Amino acid sequence: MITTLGSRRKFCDGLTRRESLQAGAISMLGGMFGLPRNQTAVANTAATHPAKARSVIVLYLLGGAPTQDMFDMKPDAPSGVGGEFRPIASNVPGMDVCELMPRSTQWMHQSAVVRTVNHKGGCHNPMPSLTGYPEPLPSIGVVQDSLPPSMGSVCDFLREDRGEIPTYVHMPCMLGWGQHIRRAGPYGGYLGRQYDPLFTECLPTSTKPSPSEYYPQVVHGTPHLPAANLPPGLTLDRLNRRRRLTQQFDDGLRQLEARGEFDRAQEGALTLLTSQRVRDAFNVDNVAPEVRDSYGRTLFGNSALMARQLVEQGVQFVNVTWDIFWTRPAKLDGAGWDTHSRNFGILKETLLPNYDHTFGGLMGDLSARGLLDDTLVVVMSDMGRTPKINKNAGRDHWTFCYSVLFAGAGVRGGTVFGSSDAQAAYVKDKPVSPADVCATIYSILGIDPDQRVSDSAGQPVRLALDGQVIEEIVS
Amino acid sequence: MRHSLYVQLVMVLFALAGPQQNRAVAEETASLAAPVRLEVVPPAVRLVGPRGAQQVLVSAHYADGTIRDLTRDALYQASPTSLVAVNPMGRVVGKQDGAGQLRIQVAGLETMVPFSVTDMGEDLPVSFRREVMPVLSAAGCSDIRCHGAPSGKDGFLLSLWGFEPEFDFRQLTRDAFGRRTNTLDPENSLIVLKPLALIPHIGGRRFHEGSVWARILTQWQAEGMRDDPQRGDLESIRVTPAQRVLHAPADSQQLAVYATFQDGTTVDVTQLSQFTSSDLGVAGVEGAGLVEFHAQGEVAILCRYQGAMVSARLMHIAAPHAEFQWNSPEELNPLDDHVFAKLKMLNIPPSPPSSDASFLRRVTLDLCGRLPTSADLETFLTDQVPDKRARVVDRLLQRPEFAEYWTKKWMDVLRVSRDSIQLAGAQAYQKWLRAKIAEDVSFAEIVTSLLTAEGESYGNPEVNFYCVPPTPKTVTDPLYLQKDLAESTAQLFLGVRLQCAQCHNHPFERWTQDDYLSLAAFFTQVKRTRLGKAGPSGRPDRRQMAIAVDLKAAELAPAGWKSPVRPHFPGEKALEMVEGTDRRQALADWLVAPGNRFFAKAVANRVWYHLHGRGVVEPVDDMRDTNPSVNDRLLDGLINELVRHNFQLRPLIRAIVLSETYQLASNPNTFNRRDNRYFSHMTARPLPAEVLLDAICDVTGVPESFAIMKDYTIGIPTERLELPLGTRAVQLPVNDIVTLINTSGKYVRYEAHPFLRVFGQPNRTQTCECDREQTFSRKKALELIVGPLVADKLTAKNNILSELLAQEMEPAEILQTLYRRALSREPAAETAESLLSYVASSDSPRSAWEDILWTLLNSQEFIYQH
Repeated sequence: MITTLGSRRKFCDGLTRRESLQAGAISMLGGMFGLPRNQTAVANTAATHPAKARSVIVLYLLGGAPTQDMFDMKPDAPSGVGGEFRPIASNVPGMDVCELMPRSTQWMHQSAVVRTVNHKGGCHNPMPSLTGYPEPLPSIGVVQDSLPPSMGSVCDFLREDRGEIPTYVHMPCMLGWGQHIRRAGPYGGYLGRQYDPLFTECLPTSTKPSPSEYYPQVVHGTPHLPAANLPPGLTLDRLNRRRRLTQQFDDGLRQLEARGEFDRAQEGALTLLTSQRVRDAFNVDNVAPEVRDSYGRTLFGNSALMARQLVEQGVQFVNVTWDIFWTRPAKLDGAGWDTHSRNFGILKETLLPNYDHTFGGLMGDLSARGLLDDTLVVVMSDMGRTPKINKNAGRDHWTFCYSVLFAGAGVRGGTVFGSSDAQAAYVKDKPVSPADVCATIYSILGIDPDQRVSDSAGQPVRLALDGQVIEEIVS
Repeated sequence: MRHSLYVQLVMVLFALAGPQQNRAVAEETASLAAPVRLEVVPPAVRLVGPRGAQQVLVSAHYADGTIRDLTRDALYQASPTSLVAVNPMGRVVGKQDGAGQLRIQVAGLETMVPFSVTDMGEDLPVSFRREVMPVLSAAGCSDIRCHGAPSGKDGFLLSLWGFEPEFDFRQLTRDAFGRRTNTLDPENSLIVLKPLALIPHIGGRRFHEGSVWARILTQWQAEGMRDDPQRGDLESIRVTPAQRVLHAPADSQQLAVYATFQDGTTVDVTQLSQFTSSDLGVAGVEGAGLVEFHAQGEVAILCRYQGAMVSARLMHIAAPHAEFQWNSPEELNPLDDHVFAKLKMLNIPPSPPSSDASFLRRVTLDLCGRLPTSADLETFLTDQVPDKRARVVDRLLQRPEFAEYWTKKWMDVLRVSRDSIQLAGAQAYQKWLRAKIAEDVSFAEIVTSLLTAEGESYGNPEVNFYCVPPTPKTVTDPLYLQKDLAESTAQLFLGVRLQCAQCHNHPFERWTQDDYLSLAAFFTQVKRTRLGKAGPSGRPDRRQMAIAVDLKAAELAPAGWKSPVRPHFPGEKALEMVEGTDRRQALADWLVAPGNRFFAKAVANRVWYHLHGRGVVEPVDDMRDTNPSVNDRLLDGLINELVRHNFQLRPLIRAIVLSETYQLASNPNTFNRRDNRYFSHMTARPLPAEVLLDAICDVTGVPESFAIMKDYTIGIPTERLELPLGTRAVQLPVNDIVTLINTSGKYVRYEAHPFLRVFGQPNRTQTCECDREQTFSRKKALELIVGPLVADKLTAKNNILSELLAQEMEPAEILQTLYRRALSREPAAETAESLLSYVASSDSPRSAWEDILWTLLNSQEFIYQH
């Protein structure tokens, strides 16, 4: 049925997504490999899986946020482990947060904190969090087509009614752009590169240059669509005429692959250019000043505001990353959330006040516009940070226990799931894998995590890999 | 590979239930039951000592010459029955001393294998190095993700992959006050309780109670935790089968690993070895050395024991498509023989040969980086001589564009940038290299000149090889230059990535940290200085450089190493260097010696890569046993061609482009559609950024004008160098031609041309072809659809459209001209008709023609090489 001759690519043979899913299901029944059998019965139930949210906004704190200084504080931890900050009460008893996050306290009734996320995928590996794939990579800068797809790519792959609005947007720039690293994670993997996200671009600035890596500056700027302006003499009308010419053109390569890498890229680009709706969604210039201020006029704040506009227009998966800008465009912020040195100084000066400002602004705005009823907000990182404070007052890499916050649509508000030990070092109760987090996000979006797609070897693979939905936090 | 016990159990259950069921079905349909003979390895089982064990491999040979592993299908019966036990995986362990026969029955055949068990009762203590250390590594304890990480895990640190037994011995016995081990109550020691997950263990359960691994760890402690008196006595390891092709329905293979020690004894260490598959998409390998394929293809299975590594090459060929038929393509030279033999073996028939027009376009682009002109096309198509393809290739190889284009390819990976060696340095370097390539000087000679260069950088361009490594802003590692040079030399000229070996022995290869440093030791005599007055501090020091050789330089003394490191060639034994000589000369001599396959392989593979879009080994600079080539014979053929012509590139390029393989069409057939490895059809791929830009200029008739700010030391640059109009992107001396000046910070930064940057031009900071972004993307599509470069050239007052319209040509003729310029062909009749009616119905013919030219420039056929 699906034959592979050493090929890594799937779905370039004209199969529709639905057909491929079915093909996956059939080959699975006819002697599948490595998957527990009791799961074979539940494939292809997507239609019957109810969606609790239409869109998701992921606030991605690159570098590994010290969640023990944010959502899982241990004020009684011994010195050398416990942080410098105190917890403050939120609007839900038992869900204290860091004193530097006053706005977050107002949203805990709509939030669930999972305190026991852990993985063994290695340091600074965005794959576990964005795809659920828990294995370390030979290099985090190598994007492999044989790896599992990101959640956003899956959303794009499964979307049947492909309109003018993109499904999956990643802001503010290609992950790792500011360090000249193409970080693995947000890509289409074995679904194909046509399911890579739409990356916005940005040219961030800071008020002054960063004196060194661990003295990051607040990063300003606004994401924008690549090639946002039409050249002089080219009207939309004329562009549409040219588009029709392209369709009549006898391209000698078109027969090579039905809607391959090229066609998909070109069509995507033309749609971005010709849709006013899309162009408006990627423009925050006309937003009321007080709304802009509520998000904070940082790159992160502007990205979150744009994310709100995008979900309003029907984008399903938006990733707002707090990325690092060090080798380009200039030395602005070399640490991000990777606070090996001066953890508390950086948290206090830049990270927590700006994060909290944006989170509060986003939640408030979503709520005021009635969007919180169908938008899920997830705050997560590639990993956590060590309980032990190192000699530079920093915290190092730690993947064994950290928190992820869910808020908004589909979330059972005021919930804490699982518990860490006294130092927030290890899981005490109810461990959660990044794949479980993905399964939960899929489930809230109405995507059956048990659905299967073919991997690069033509084998059916569960969308959520071995992740299970954390039912306790789903409303 | 590392599974929790649960997963392992599930996998074992499936291994027992699933495949056997399939096998039973397959057996009926494919008459599996009729092998001609059975072959058993080893021919005699000898079990020595209380823990002696041996993996038996049962292979069935069939009449059609195929071989199948039936180890897990066979029935094993020992007589007498009391002496040994055999598990369903074919693993034999002794029970008591004696000798007998093992009867093996499968697929209607039967064979007898003698066995002997000796010294079963002997008190043979557990060996720390031969048994305990391999267990720690096979169980994953000393992995990079676990206790082998630089700072260990959870307070427990082991040497990475067990490369330092002395260190690990101390860690196990002394560190943490010896609380990890317990000689009196070994069952309750941490190193047993943790991996059994009897107490919380972040790494989960690594093995189960009563397993061989558990018994080794327990017994070693009970015996007093001794290190071995004999150290480092491992001679070599080998794997069986080292190479095998599995034809469907065969899709799995059990491996066996043997270690030979200095005392001459050979022991089965299958159960103490660690296995890794080079391509999990093709085949996986279980802990016990069972390889299972899930797709057609080839893998190398790396087997590791006590730091020694060996790999098995396995290939699986799926049953051919029902309508498959070998199409017997014509072989034009020996390279075709190698390619087609492999394709035939894999049941992949190649595409038909390409047309003359498409060959001319392809070969002109590949050799000269340009499109053929309409006149070139006309001449070629009307030429009637039978060897016209060979003739056109010979002419192209002599054109200056050939030398320019191939110079650029090398400059990309030689890191020629303004940021590293200034504009003056880059221009001199380019000129030098272009002259060598134009004269087809032996590549061995070019590399020797680079490696042995001395002097200041503007007048002696070859020294720039030593000038390009960046100087860190704050020097934390005094050996940064030597290490950079070792890495770049290895990657460029040996085709090997040594970077991993800087910190630890390479995880998947035989390269050790010692190899890495010993290569760096060839560069200790290199002294690099900057000439002239330095600019203000706090800004990049951009000055001319000079390279000198200090024959009395001290030996390489890396931090943390007890003694200085002496130079020796990678993978070879220590070398006697004559004191007071230039070591770089010795390195160069070794590198380019005809017997050194590394260099020839690296160069030949790279040339093939540039002409096919994919190396025979891919990535081109990552050659290792565990990243095998897709066609060894082809690679050998290319090497021979290169060596035969004394490392001149032109004869090799000529041989490649005149092969039938290169001339195959890019359109796939039903059977080779999914092949993107074995060269069954030409790979369609986007043109390189510079070639695309030049092609747009050529088609529109509007050249790009380039200007570069000149070199400066102090303040901000003020002088511009205007490159002559008509300069092509391929001819630019550097990629970072744009100068960005931050006047408030008085900071100057260099960047690529905006169009070239979008199209993935590398910034030349890496010695890696991977620095070039080659896939087509939405961003690139946008640049061509609305980007300023294309828009300006379409509307330019003096472009091709102006010229053609001024001549008052017939519209059909204009269309034909545009097609020839852009696509080297005529339009299809139907398309021509609709495009011409578009022009006819337009109010402004000029803008209609702009739209049509835009359509041509935005077609995949134009943007791609094919």
